[in-house]
Amino acid sequence: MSLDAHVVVRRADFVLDLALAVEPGETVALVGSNGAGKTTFLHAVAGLVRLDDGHVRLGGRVLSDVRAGTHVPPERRRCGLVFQQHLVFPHLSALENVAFGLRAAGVRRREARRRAAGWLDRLGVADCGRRCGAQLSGGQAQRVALARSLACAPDVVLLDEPFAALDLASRPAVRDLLRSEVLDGTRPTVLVTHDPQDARELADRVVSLSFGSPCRGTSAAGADAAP
Amino acid sequence: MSMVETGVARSPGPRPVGTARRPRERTSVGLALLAGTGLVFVVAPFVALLLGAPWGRLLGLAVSGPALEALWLSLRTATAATALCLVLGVPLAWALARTTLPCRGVVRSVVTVPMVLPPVVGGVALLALLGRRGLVGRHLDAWLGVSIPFTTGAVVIAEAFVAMPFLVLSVDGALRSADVSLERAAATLGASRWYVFRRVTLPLVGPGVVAGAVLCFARAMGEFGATVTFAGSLPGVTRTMPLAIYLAMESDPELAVALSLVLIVTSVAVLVALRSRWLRPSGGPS
Repeated sequence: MSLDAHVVVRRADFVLDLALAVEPGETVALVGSNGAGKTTFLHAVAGLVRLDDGHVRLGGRVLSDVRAGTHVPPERRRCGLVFQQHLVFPHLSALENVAFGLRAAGVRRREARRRAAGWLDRLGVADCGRRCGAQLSGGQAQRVALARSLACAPDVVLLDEPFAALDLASRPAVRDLLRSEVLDGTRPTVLVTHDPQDARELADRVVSLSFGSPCRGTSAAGADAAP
Repeated sequence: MSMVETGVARSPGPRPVGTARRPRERTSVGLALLAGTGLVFVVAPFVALLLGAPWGRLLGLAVSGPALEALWLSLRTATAATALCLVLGVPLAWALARTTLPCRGVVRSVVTVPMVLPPVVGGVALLALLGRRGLVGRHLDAWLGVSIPFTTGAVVIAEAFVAMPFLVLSVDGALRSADVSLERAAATLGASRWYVFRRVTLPLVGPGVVAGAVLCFARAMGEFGATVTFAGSLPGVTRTMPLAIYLAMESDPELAVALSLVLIVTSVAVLVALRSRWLRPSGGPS
């Protein structure tokens, strides 16, 4: 399963034009300043933003193709988007949050809860299961949001600033968690961040985005970060 | 950069305030008087109603056959009208708030028409549609032998027609102020529109729906004009409490006062019960 995207989104004051191919198991970090279009790119891949031109292909499926008039709605894309603001459902328990996608896909309640509990455990928030979304701390909400996306077994993982809401002390733990649980070597991952260190440590390749376009000289950063 | 910002922020000096004080105080006294009068205007009629109530005969009047009959009819029809408004009004509010129909503004205005329309006119309009000679009513009569006016069903329709805008506007407002991004997050998890509506949208706007339903129920309980025009005043069939009160005023004013008190107490009791039942903080299981 690989991701092949050429995303063109035109706004009044801004044009995003980024072509990106991500191989199975590869992690690409998308870096750049605020307003560079990083989040818009992820949302376009996930189907929340319509393309003005270009295409999104995932494995053998065409998710978007402007010329052909194709736009698969978000709920049928199998894109695991983890939002910067987490967007954990405040009225559901952490367990119900993680079970949400499974329940939506028709998995029976008991089975969905069993699997959701497994994911909470893997992400180290098993003890938060009964607490409702609104009561979770920033770090807990982020792990629940990660578990919620991963539980749906997405074909691509799209991480939007996974470290933004975390204090410095908890960053290494989350980095390890991403390495062990998210970047599992089978599916493509796009990591949006504005921290070059996060990009170097987690990604195979770094793409810098500036005012909607990739910067020249964007290089594979995995090599120089290797020990 | 930061020096410039602090420089700008500090620049406006203290403003002379002495001149503005006295007129403001005078205005506030005037405002307080008007506000107090407004409060009296709203409360005084209820006080008069309580003071003038035939307390000695009250119980006997309130539990008399016709009174209970009218009360029971009012409760049933207002509940059915509220249910009808919920089933039809919540999806309508959703369509107004969440879709990009080109004529949304017009639809929103049309929905509010029954709110500003005299209820009697609403009743006439319902007769024009569903009466035995009405646009749809004549076919119902000819093909199915069904006649809606002057039945309990007609009461429910009249009440729902008049009360619907209260529910739609309330839910529409709640939906428009609710965070759409949670619904988008739900969609990326593979949830269909209906599933998102049921498990994310509806619970999040729950308080707005309850507030709308409460307004809707209160309006339905008090409905008079459209009901009497479209459904008439048949004892036990279409004679709801407001109609019974109006009729009693002509023959037995004390009965009218007693019925009014019963209506007030019942309405308040139902609303309190609804609120405590549905506005409990919940994060219950699916």
